[in-house]
Amino acid sequence: MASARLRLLLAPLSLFAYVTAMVVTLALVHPFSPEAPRGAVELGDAYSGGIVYEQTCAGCHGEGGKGGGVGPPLAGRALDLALASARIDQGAGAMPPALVAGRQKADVLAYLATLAE
Amino acid sequence: MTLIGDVNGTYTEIVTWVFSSTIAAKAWLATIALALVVVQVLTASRMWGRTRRLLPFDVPSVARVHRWSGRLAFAFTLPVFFHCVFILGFETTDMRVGAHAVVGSFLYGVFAAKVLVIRTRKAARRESYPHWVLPLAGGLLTAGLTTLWLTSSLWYFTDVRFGF
Repeated sequence: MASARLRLLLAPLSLFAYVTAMVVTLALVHPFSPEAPRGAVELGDAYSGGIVYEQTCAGCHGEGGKGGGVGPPLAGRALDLALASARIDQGAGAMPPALVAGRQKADVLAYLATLAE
Repeated sequence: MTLIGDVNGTYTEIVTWVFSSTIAAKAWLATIALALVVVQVLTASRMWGRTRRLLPFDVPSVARVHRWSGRLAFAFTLPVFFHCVFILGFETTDMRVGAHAVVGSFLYGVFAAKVLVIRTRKAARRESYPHWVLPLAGGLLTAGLTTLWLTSSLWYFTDVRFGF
């Protein structure tokens, strides 16, 4: 009787393990993640970018990219500028898309390049 | 890969018809799901002979509400699941995000196991599983969804903005 119940419990436990493994695999692959655009990223003026950054981005990413709670810190890490450009265009997490665009975006990317490792 | 890139863009476009951002959409959809989970807990406790005074309705009616609130709660989590798993992926940037990712990984597993237990109980006329299995599965599901809500929607409403 006890072994029959144990066998019965194995079915939901196996299903739990299977579904969890599928979810973890999908989350690690995250197949629809925005892809970094290929090709060179246009960089503008880092000084102007710093001003735009402090006005637009520092509220979430912190002053000097040191982290501000909502957005991840950007300073002192290997930053993929193509990916940063894609994230600015498409938005990511709490960040709405296209907070900066055109010349301002190129300036901000140039500023971010100065923060990177 | 262009097609895959378009999935994210299309999803964002659809969601931002109603909400300001994809994360605002997730915060509200998860909040609706949590409200439905509260209905789930109340109706489940009535079906197990508790909260008779709070819900003075017959058990078949309460069971119907329980089933439909569960189906709706599951439906509301699907866009959230899609964005979290297929677009954002498993991240551990800080404690909150890490806890959210770990608990979120288990949620659908617990849900699937609970549904299987219910189906098996019905087929076997309630003589199969020990009586504690279903409340345990339901409790884990409630705790999981509550944790996910606390580490995402509550954070969004308090630290980012309270709005659509």
